[in-house]
Amino acid sequence: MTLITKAEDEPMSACNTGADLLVQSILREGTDVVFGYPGGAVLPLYDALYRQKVRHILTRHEQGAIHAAEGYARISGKPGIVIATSGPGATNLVTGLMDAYTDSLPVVVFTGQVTRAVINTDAFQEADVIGITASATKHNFQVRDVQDLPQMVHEAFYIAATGRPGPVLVDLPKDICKAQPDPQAEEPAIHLRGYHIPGEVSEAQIRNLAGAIEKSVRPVLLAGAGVQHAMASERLRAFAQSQQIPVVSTLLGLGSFPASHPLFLGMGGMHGTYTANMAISECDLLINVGSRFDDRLTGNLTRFAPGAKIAHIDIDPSEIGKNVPVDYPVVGDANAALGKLEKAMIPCKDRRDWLARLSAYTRKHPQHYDDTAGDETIPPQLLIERICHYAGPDAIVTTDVGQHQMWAAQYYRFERPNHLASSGGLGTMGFGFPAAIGAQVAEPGKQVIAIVGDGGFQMTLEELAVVRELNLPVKIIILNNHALGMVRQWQEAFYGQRYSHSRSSFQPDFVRLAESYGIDGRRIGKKADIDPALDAAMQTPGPVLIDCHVRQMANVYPMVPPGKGLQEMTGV
Amino acid sequence: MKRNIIAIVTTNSGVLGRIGNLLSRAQLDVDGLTMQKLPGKGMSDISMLIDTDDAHKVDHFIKQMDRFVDVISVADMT
Repeated sequence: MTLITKAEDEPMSACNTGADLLVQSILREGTDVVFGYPGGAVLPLYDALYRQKVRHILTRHEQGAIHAAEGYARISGKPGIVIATSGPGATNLVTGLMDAYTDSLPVVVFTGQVTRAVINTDAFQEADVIGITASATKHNFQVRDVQDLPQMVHEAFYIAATGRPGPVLVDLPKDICKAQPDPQAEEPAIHLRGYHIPGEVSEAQIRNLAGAIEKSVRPVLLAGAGVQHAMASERLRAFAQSQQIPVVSTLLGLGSFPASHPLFLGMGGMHGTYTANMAISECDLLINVGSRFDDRLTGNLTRFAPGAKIAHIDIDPSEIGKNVPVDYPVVGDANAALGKLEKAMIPCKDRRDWLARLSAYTRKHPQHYDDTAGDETIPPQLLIERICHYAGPDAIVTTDVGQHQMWAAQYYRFERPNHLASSGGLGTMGFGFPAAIGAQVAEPGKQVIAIVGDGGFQMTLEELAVVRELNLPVKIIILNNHALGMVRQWQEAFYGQRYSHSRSSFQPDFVRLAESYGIDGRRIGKKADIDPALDAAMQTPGPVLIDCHVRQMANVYPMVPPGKGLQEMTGV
Repeated sequence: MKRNIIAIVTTNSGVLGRIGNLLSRAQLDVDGLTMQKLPGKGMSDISMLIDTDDAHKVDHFIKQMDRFVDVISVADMT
């Protein structure tokens, strides 16, 4: 039997509802795709999407939708858009919102809400989304009048994408979406009295910093995610080169400076290179460009860059001086600041002694791993190197969180900006695979590789349906150690080898799982399997999953143990 | 030490919630809090009395508050 009734309770003018106005407002922002999941409170909105032929990607869980939107935003630089229903639909987004907030990703989220008349009555699928997400968003608001929709949508996109980017949530009571708005003649404008974006970079701050660089004998640049958000990679490269200043990257800064450049020292921090951490420890001037001095980067703050003056370029004034006292603050966009700095500088000082000292560290303590376990097993670090070899410098990589993420950061050579999407600040397992979907949607012509662990992949693997349905050629590479590797590593090192709930006694057959979704699957477990499997995967036009069984007891080294300074690395 | 923080905010629902969340996250003890609508401008002023000897924590709290879209200005008036 076919059920045909009028749309819910009201006769409705087909193209003139609040939901239509909302969709038109979203399209006005230049949107080409939205990620979402329908439900009762957003039925009017989905009806408008149906009428207006918006490209909508149906994920299989709201968490998948928001991580996909994050991946899209990270790679394209444009806001990722998410739609979810009220109550559980909205609460399923909270992890992704916090993830986007922590890593400064522009995401605009539209959540359904129960009708205004029953808000705060514990109505079906009601949740206080504004209250719940207040701490996980750059801004959020609930629409109270249908006439406000164009303005609010415009402001939501503006807030998400300007200044320090971040997620913005717009909560939509169902009756607002069903209401019939009056025609609006005026284009929406921005009226945000309390929203300040730093303006011109201060000349005085730049002069002070330029003077400090001129005096410095052992300077180091620290490149954070802000370099990529500001599209300042080219400026950073030119500046580092002209001043002969070596560059250390944060995790989220990887790709902002070419890995193959002679001035690049690698990632710093807990699992950074020895040279990068010694450069920070022995420099006389640390110039942080767009990073927030995260604790995984600094180690013990009392031993961080002990003899150095600290310069910090950041668009968010609240980051300056938050964790590390700053001698030379520069508030502003990294691209603008580096441009002004370049102009303010005199020709380069001779820094050959400093660079030679750092080169000697690299020769003495190069990044290395244990490759002595024989050919019947796969060292995970080797696997990453081979993925990098087969994928090439233009491939986009996404990761989850844990050992595989750190090995990817250490052994994958990121040459270009905006080619890595990883959950840095929040450390969200389950991020990598849906983020790869968003990245592939943003860059349909590029090779996208999701490097994930067996633990994290099981948190969002339902999105296999999406890559099959859209035939997205994402290559999913599981570093399968039958364990929550980083948890197990810490239990080995700091909890007396008591492996409490970190090793899997059961896991699914990932190959057959992929095949059940109509995706090519392959399992490898020996060194000799690596190259043929990767070669075949890269030649396959559609999605492929490779279940790589790697050494369970492999550990991520070198490491700065918790509570120690960067100069106290183990496993170098 | 008692710190007197004054803010001018846009009169939107949610702004007080955000500030309350931040106070809680910053682990700042609030001795007093008032919010009052300013006549005819869509703005309100908020006055907070905070008891702490940690100047860095208060400075950071003020910077974080200033990030809020609905906070027009905020200052330590102690």
